[in-house]
Amino acid sequence: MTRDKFLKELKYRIGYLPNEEQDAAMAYYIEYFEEAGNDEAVLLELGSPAEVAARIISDYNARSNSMPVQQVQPKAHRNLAGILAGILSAPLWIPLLFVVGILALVLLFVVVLLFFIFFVVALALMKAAIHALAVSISTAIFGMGASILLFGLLILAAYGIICGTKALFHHFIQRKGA
Amino acid sequence: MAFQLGSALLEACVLAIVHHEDAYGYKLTQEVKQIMDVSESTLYPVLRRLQKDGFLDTYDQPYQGRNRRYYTITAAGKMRFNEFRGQWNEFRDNVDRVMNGGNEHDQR
Repeated sequence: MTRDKFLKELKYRIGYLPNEEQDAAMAYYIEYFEEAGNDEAVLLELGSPAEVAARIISDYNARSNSMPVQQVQPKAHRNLAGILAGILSAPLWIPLLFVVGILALVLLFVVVLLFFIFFVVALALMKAAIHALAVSISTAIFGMGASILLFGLLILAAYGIICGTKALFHHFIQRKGA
Repeated sequence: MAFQLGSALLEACVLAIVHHEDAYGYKLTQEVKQIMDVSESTLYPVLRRLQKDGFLDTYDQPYQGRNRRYYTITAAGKMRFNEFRGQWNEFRDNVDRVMNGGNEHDQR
């Protein structure tokens, strides 16, 4: 066996280890051959590539087993399925948070839409009342009154919502702090 | 040699050598082989393990147009080495006592 053949077979046999582990081992043995200068003696000393690979792999496995679980996964196996599995196995609160977030957004949208509709209606009432001035003063005054009432109600509602949200936040922050 | 060498003793010897002076893989192997009968393929996993445990660090230095990867001992490695040395001295004294026929009660 030659040096090249030995290194090639070693690389093949440790091929399933993370790239970092492979590179470190290969660099070590390439350097070792270079330093020794006598390929035949080194090949005799090292034994077969299978034996050398077995030692590297068993040491890697021993190390991985004592490491936290998430670090064990070899880099080579982290593909789309791995990412998907990670998301699916994530704690329940992630999808839950997602749903709550969407609900909050929908609620905000509905409130803003309602405000907008009432604002447009109030505006239209005011415009209609001004036009009605020429026909009947009592109708016009009634329309203006209704419009101003609607504006007032809108401002009151907005104030109420802002105060309510503030109180809610304070409540949560205080509970968290306690 | 008739005595079995555990991986802890091998680790201790590697730490002792690197504690004395930074060394590259081939030189380290030669030095360890002068102390105990180990095959060349045992040393790489030991070095890698010590490195991953934070006891050894590596750096590259160019030598004749290629790289030599030097191993150097870390602060944690020094602490580990002192631990090993204390335990070894205790063990050696105990074996000495029993091997050389001394009465253990004399020593205590």
